[in-house]
Amino acid sequence: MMSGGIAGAGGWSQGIGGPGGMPPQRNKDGWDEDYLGKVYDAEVIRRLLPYIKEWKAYAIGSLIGMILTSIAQYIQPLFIGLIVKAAIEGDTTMVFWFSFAMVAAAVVQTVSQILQQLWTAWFGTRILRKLQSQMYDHVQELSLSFFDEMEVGRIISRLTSDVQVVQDLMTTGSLTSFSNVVGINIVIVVLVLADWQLALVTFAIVPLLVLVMVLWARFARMAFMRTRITISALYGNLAEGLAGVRAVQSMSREDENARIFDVLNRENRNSNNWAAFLSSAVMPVLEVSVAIATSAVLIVGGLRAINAGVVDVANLFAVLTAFTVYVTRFFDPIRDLVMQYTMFQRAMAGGERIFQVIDTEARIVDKPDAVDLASVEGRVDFDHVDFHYVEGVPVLEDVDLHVRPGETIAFVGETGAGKTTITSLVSRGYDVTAGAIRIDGRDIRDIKRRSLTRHMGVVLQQPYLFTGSVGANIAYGRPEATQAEIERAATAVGAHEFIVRLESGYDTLLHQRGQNLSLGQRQLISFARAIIAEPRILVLDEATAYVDTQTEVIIQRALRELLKDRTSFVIAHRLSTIREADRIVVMAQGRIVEIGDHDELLAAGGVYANLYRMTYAQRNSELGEEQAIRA
Amino acid sequence: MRHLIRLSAFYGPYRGQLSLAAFSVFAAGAFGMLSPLLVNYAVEYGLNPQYEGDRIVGIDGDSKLLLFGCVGIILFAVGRGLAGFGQQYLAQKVGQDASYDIRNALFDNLQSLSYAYHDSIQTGHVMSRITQDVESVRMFPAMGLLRLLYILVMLLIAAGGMFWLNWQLALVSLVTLPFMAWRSYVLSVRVRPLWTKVQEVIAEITRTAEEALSGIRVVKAFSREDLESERFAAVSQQSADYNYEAAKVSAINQPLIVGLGSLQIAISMGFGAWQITQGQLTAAELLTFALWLSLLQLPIRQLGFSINWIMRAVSSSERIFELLDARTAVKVKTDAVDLTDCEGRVGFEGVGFGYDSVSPVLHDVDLDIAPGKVIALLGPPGSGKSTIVNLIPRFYDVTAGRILIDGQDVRDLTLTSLRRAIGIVQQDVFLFVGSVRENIAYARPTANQEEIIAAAKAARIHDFIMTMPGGYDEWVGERGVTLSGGQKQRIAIARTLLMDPRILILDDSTASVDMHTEFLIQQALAALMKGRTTFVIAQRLRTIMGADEIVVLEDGRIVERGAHAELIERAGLYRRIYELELKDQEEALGREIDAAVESEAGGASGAEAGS
Repeated sequence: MMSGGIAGAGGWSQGIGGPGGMPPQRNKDGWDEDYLGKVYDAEVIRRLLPYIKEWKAYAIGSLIGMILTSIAQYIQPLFIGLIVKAAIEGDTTMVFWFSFAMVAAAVVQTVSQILQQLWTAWFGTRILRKLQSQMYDHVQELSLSFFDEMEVGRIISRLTSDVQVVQDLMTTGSLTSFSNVVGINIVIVVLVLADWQLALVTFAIVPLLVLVMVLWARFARMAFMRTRITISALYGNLAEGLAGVRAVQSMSREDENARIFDVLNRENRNSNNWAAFLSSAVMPVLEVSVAIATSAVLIVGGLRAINAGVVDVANLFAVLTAFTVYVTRFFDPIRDLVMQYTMFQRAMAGGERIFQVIDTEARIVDKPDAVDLASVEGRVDFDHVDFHYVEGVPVLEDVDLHVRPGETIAFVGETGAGKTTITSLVSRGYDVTAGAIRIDGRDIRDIKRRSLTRHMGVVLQQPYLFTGSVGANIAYGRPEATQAEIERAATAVGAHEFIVRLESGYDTLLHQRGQNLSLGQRQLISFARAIIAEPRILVLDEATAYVDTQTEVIIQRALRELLKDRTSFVIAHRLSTIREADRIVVMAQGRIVEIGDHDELLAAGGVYANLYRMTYAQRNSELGEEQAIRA
Repeated sequence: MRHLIRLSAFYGPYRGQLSLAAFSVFAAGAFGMLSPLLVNYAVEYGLNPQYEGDRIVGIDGDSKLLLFGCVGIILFAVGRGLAGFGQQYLAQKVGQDASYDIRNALFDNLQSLSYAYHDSIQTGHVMSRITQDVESVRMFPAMGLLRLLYILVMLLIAAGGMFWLNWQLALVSLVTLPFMAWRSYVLSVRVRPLWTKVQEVIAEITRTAEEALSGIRVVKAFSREDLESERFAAVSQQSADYNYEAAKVSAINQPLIVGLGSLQIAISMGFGAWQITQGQLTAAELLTFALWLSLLQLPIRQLGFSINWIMRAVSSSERIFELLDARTAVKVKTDAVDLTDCEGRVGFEGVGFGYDSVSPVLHDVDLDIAPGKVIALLGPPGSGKSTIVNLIPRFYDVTAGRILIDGQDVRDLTLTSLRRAIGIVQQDVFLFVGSVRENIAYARPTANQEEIIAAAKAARIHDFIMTMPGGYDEWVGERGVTLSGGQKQRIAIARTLLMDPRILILDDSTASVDMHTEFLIQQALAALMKGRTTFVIAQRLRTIMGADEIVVLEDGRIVERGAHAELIERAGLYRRIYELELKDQEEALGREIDAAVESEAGGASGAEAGS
């Protein structure tokens, strides 16, 4: 005989105990290998307290509701005993009153539990919401070095899964555990008060049971982790197989892939079967424990009465009834507590990771006395700028460069020479670690970021667009732009023509960040976006690298217009762009090694001349070959 | 009923285990629900209460009988424990075994379906279908079928026992049960769509955050953190609201069901106690009722859920069958032969094709290409270039005419041998999650290290691979290093080189990369094309001029064919395309040649300066 019934033991892994019996899919992102923290992490709890405090009334209400529920629930078997006692004594009035008390307890239990769950859900979801937004806003303020180290997927898993496990703990986990502890204690107190000898007999089995459960939980935890890992591997493989089905078919890899899928599928099945075995194996243990406890009560209580001869019969029956009913309810909370152990560990680990993100420094925020730049002339000075991501590993060293308004500077150098870093520093994606960057003589750290970026247009190597209309994307940096301004910017970069040919022109929605446009078209839009605010300073990071030849012709034409009168920093591989720059800055290992225009640098016969030769000499032989073919 | 029969087909192979599980259900139910009777007997005969009228006045116990009864209780518990284990384990195992079969079958079928099918579906949609639907079929035996059976068995035995002991109290004791079962059903039905909504909004949060954080450089460059914060706050708020909505439904219904159970016990105990005072019931019998009612609480709560699982499994199985029953349009004849020693002659004879019967895409295409020749396909978007090349490996089947390879109709060949003879390098290269080595050896997993390196060298990607920390073992694809378009393309070329096909299909509409990379790609392509019949979907003048024949398409017809010089003179479509799009490239090409010549001079002078 047992109380939990068959559902309980299996319910853990299957997720039916979870919200509405959803299959366990929430943690499918699979970014963080299931890392379990301590069961109780004081630091995490301390950090969570302020959030709970904000909804203090709800939290206290929930706590009271929970305690009331527990009391009302676990007092009921006592009433059963009392009813039996009154019945044996033939006292109908007391039967009525105790029955009435039990009905009242049931009502209190229901009402207080409903209120408790509503309140908990309310403040739990609010806390989740607050943590989430706070984390998100914080992340956005972090310097780019944070994003260099942390993949977006992992940040998102912090934002969703980790916040969710903490919420689960706060809304269901911790309160359920607490109510279990309260429940167990009520049972213990009632039983001891009713009959301490019988109580001891009942509890005799508990240490053994707890030991078995804890050992079992250790195995089970590993088994269930294994099922999660194998299922995400399996579905990852399936998703890939579907997405790449054309490539697979074109290479006739179906058989090999089916074999791999079968291996993963089999692994998942086996790990699930092992988990099923474990979760089912705990059943007989629980069953027998309850039965032993029940029998012990009957035997000890019964023998005691038999040996004593004359006894208070009513009391005997009342005690026996109450004890046997309590026994059936006593093991539920113990089992649940063991189960919630893992939930605590996961929540603590989640909390730790959340606060790790929130504690990350290296934010780039405005100083309180930062100024607005009304207008910018366009002079940019790099004053002995140093920069490193990691102490001791310099990325830029002593970069000293003074750019006149309207000048076009091309950065040249091998990958890793620091070209992109320099341009990112100008727009304050990072802060310099020594020296200063000044615009019109003012340190950019003293300028409000908003006003700094307003005067600066940035085009990245990979055009990045947002979901929304073409027009909204162009106006991204200047939401107040009028339709006329948007069109003017698009026309200036040669994008207007193709945009008006789109099905809804400027209102055409971009799906999946503009996947419905060609790369070249996307790049043109990002160009228009950069210049819509008429920036004085332009930063182009290999902006034409991914554009097809036709678009490039358009862009080259537009560029000549755009670069005129604007201070521009260009990272370019294309010869034509490099040659047209006012000055070429050659970088090597984070230092400026040469500065000058194309002809000067070629004549100097240094790094640039060498680089130039290496790149284009190879080209010669190939072109020669081709000319030969054509001839 | 038809649905149930289809669903049961999944578990057919496991009917032995399933029967054993069902047997365990009966055993577990019987052992479980009969043990309160044992308690009754242990008390009734072990303690042997003495009555005076209706009232118990003392006991005349027999410790042997008491012990006997308790041993019975423990034995029953062992019995029920074992039967419960059997039921639970087998039910889960059958579900898992069946879903293993289904997944394999689904994977095999999806892999074999032609392009036409995959064009018509959305990957994400199919994925979520498979994950959720297979999950319901997996859960069906344990959570649905056997759980329901178990609940019914327990209910019947308990109800039977109750009526046998005392029919009045039995009636009173079962009065709230239908209502509880109904609420639990309502709860399970109502909460599910809400959780689906929650899942959707979580996906929305992920999407929103992903978009802004992936584009964080742009966000920062334009200082639009405020806008992104707002967007995020909106979805986050929505998620909080939905979460609360869903929690509310269970917060109200669950305590209600549990509370009803408590209320039921209270009423039964009160009524039973009154019956005791009237001498219609013994104390031991009331205890038995209390135990029965306690034992029934959980199963009743689960009744609604198990019914819901069954309904879900039925509708899921429908959708799974839809995927399993999808048949490929490209069928292989039973007497198909292997394509051996392919030479590479490709012929199109009056080929017509349409993705549907209404709008044909190709009309009457005739081509005869000698082995080793290079054909450039040219034409405005939608003119049928890609369609032509997709017909050769039978990604689609022609709707008129035929395609011949070495004089054999492609439909008379086995798919594997046909496709192994054809190599394809697409514009957007699909890399699989795995090492660089695995990706290069993708079409020939048995290739050895020397062959892989040789292919990578010929594809001009070896040097780059060696600069990565893991070399050939470096992980690419999701969670691995991100490769540039040019690098991916060269890996695809190496992959195709290793496959060593006689016929090659290239998509040359490559976005341009920096000069050095483009140079490498051109070299790699030259190595690849050598000695192979090649179809190039061309956009670049360079490639077009290198072709043996240019085929110009318009609206699915061949309108012109010939060499560059001939076509220019003809002043047709080619000439127009040339003037509009290609001429600029000639200038660019010219410019590059100038630059190259100049650099040669510069290089020479540099070399002199160096010496």
